[in-house]
Amino acid sequence: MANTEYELSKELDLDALVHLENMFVEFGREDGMAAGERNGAIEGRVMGCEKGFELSREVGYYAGCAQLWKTLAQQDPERISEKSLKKINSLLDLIDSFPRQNQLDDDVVALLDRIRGKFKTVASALQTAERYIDAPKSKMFY
Amino acid sequence: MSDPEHHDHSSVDVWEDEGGANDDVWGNDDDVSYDRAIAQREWNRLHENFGNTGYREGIEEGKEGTLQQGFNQGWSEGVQYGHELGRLRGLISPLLEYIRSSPTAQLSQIEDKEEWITRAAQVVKELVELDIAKVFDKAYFDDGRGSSSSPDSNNKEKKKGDGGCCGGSAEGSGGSSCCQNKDVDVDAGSEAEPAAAGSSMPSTGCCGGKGGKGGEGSCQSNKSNSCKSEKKDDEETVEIEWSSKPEQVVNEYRSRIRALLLEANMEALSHTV
Repeated sequence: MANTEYELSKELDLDALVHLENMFVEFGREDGMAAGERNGAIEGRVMGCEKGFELSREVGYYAGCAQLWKTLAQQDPERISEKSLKKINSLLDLIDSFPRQNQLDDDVVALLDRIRGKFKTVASALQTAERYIDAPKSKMFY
Repeated sequence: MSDPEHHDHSSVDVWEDEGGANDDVWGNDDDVSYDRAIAQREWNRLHENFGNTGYREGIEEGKEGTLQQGFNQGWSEGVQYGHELGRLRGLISPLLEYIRSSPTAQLSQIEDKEEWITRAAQVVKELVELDIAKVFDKAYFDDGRGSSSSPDSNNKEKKKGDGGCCGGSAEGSGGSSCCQNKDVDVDAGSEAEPAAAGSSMPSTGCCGGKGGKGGEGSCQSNKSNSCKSEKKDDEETVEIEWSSKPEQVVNEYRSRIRALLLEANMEALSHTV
């Protein structure tokens, strides 16, 4: 083969090769994107579910306690004082503000701390031993 | 993106031979077929290496987009059931304490008090120890809401195709072949698992049964459910509702708590359960 021909075809071949490599990357990336989107949705969902579940479980517990005590106060007014009842209602209001939807600018942890604090206030006013117990949990893997 | 290694002499030669309209037609057959073989191998190698690189990139990119969205969805779902389960415990636990601590109070006059106390303590204990994995099973997440497939957790770290529906092949066939294989399972699944229960949950009959049995190996069953997008029409015409695992769990505790409240003269509260 003539030298120049060889040189020319060599250059063209390099271009073709690079193009080929890019092509493969793109194909791979397309497939990856689709898989990644699915994975991300599921992973995110599992994570969100775990977090939401655990946090709201505690908050729900405080809500249940407050509701129970409120009812008790109505049926056995001597046990629970007027002042305590006020605290209980205040706790219930605070719990109502706990987000059912996750919004980015919500400071959920801060709210949880406030709720915890309020609960402790109520609990000590009622002289109850009630407290939220967190059993050791497993993580979900999917 | 070009890999210098690939510019080796043999591939250049190969291209020359393939491209040339001149020599190889008359050339030595052995040379051509040997070069062909080399070419094929080279092609495959390029495909695999660069394909994988691209795949890895693509997965990261794809994930980023849907992670937050998925998180938000999961959060609402978790809160929905978590709050109720926590509340149920909160309704009974202080009541139990009250009844134990004030034996003479009118409110604590319960028929067969000891038995009530035992039952109440039992349900509280269960609710304290209730593990999230017992509430949300795999099948719940396979219901196709917001996602059409679930990855096998064991394979999450692998780069090639395992995350996707029928990701066995890196070629990304889109899973049509896999889905066809699983068709039978899908049908059997949805017919085997109906449970009549008023529920707002979408029909998850498809992978319901499979999900429950699966352990790590359940990727197979998960894949079958991911073909839901193709099977969806069929499933909807089946129209059997079943309640999801979290619904079942919550309802079970609800009824026990309701009973306990009623027996403890807390009728008004029992209606909130």
